[in-house]
Amino acid sequence: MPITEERKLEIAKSLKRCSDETLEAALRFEESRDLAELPVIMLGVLTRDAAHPKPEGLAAATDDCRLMEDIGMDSFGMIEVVMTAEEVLGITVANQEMNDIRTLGQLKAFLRTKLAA
Amino acid sequence: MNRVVVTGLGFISSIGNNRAAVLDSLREGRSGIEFMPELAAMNDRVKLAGTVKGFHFPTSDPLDWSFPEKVQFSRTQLRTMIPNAVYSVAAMEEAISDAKLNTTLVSSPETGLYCASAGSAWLTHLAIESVLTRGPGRTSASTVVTGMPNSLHLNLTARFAIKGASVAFNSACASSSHALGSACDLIRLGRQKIMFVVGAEDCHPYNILPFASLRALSSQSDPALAPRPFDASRDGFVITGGSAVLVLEDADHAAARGVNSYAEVKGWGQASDGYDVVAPDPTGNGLVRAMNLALKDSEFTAANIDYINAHATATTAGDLAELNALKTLFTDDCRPQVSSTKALTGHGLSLAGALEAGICCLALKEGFMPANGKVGKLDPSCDGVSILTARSDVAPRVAMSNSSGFGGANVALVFSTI
Repeated sequence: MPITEERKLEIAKSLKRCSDETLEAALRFEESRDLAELPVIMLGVLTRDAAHPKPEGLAAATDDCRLMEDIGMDSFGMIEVVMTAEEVLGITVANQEMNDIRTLGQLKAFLRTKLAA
Repeated sequence: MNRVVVTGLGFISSIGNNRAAVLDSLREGRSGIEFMPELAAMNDRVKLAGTVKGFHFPTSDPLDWSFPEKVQFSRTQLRTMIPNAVYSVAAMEEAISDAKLNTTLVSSPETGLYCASAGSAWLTHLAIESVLTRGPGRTSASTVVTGMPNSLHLNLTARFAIKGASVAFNSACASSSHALGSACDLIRLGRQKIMFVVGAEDCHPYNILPFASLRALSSQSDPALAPRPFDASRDGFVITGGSAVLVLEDADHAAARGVNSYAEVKGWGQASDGYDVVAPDPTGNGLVRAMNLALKDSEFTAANIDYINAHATATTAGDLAELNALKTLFTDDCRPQVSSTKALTGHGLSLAGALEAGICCLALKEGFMPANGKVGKLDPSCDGVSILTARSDVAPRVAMSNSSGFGGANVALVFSTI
């Protein structure tokens, strides 16, 4: 189903200050629900919300990358990431689910499980 | 008791964004009051404010904010910031540098921070509006911090990794004077070696307009004509924002570090009117008691006071109550010079006490007494009180700074030259 202009604006607002590439991937995801778009969206949001994103970007980060220790994500940053995921991906995340996400790999797996459900 | 000295000052204010600029404005009698178009566009009563130059907060998104070049924040640092905390970070950095404090001394169990601000009415409003209209799940978590009345305290203690005592004071326009007096006591008692004292406020229509409802603000549109404390034609106060920071330090600690001091904090007093929610006791009795306690605490008599930085905001009720208090305490034999620097700066509310304490420190250090600007014709009630309508280059040795807040909270602070 094609995306409405209103939904496009909502997604763009949620991804304010993310890269164009991130927004484009999110808009494609909205239409296709193709999980292959997920890494670009996720890394784009983390790059925006982490205190110390690696200079070369997070694209090369491995699944064992720790969100707090390695890229400086704090409690507010995590909530921003979760809120953005809810808005852009159309999922709902319970408070207790957030507590178990500590690495990039756990975040990826969590989102895939949520989206598959 | 340990002696307490002031070893650092920092200012972001309507009359200058650093010590040198504030000093220059005070010497030259330069006002920071301006016509504020966005304020005037929102109402038909109040148009002037003591604007803070070089800082712009066009939206609630901190990444849309702009600052003078010396002020820098990362995205994550800005996330929980409110305008008066932004001003305060800049003023803190100036004060820390002025007092020659390294990171270890700033973030030490022996260093604390007492601060005062009324929060950000603007961001509090937006936070509540968002949770009501978008819902809590679609509202940024940082609005909990930006919407809290002690947001300044949370932001500063985190930003500067404060490890000693830290409290946010809230006694309306006496707030940061209470903070300063209480900080002084901690050092006197040996509980802290260094205390940051911070007073700050936003300069936004949302924290200005409620005072217009109270009909307490000047309706002038010419910045040269308002506010006019002690003038026969005064018509209310003009609000300002910004931040003032004083570094209070144990005198022996400061001497051991080999740093210069601006002034010694000799003592302070506080007393309440017990009279009304907003109106001051017309007799000025609460302020008289606060000043008397400050004199006793500092082991001075009324005759020792050379200069008084008056609270006078340019409301008829407030100015007359303070004049009555001054006339009760200071008789013909002792006639200190009096000025309200709010004519130049505007009234900083929770910021006022710290800003004016900082001004007293500059006056003592630099050897002058700033004028009570914008006086055309003094109110006849000023007879018997020496209002400084022009700067005096007589160097004061002892200065008193008065603050009176709604609810009848009065504070007098006494400083002396070193």
